Amino acid sequence: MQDAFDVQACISAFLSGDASKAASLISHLHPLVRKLVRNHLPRRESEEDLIQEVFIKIFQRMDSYEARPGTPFEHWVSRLTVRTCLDALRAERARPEVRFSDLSEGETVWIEFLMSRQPEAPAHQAADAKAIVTLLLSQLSPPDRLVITLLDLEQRSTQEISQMTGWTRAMVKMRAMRARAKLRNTARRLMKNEFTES
Amino acid sequence: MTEFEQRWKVTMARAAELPKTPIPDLPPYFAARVLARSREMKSDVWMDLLASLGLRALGVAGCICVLSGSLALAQMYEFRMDRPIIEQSFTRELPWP
Repeated sequence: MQDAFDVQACISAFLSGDASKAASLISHLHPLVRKLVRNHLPRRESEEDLIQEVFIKIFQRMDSYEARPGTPFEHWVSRLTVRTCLDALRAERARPEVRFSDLSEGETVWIEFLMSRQPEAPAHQAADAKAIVTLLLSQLSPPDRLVITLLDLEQRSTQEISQMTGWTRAMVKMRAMRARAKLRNTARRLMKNEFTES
Repeated sequence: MTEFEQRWKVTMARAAELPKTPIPDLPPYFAARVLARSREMKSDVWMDLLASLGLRALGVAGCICVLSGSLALAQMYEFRMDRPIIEQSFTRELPWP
């Protein structure tokens, strides 16, 4: 059985000058950081570059980290990662233009399902569902996109999101509600395009 | 929950069924590169704050400046009420203690 990784000991050793511990910390945190970065990656940003940026920030601010009982180091890292991704999303000014004619057949079925034109969800089309979700999310503002991804895709609780983003729980709920309304409007606009294009 | 929200949840759940791309290994010397860059780039809290708040912070700060400036001006030119004449006459006639 593999020994549990002692994060605190590793941080202490690193802060006291043992630079070799940096590699161990990075290996330990890499899956967590990559998963978060993947889910919140701006369109034109490289995954590797953003991961590197996150780790640079982690090491720059390591001395400001204070261990608290019940709050693992990974929470602090998640928060820093989410904030870095949010900044990267904000830096991406232009949002892609979406046209109905650009959608594939599978994506069209999903958008029709979303707008209640199809009674049942299409079977075995996870890739198309993912494509339409990504497309609609790309039309949201960075904070709206972040909250929907955390809540609906990563299945995190409002409490967790509140800790990660620094927003209150009420704010998270309100933002999610508004974001879903915006998603519905975007989907509706896409369907309207269908009529104007045909 | 609206019908759209229910359907959105179904779509998201289906999207989540897609097999996850395996996590690749980190490129060689990644840790060394990160450490070197973290040492050469000093963490500037103010710059980070400005980057995260962006233009909105400047806009809000500008609005606050305009608002406080206009309040200060309004106070400066505020019509100052003099003491009522009757009160003035009474105070003049009162004997000095």
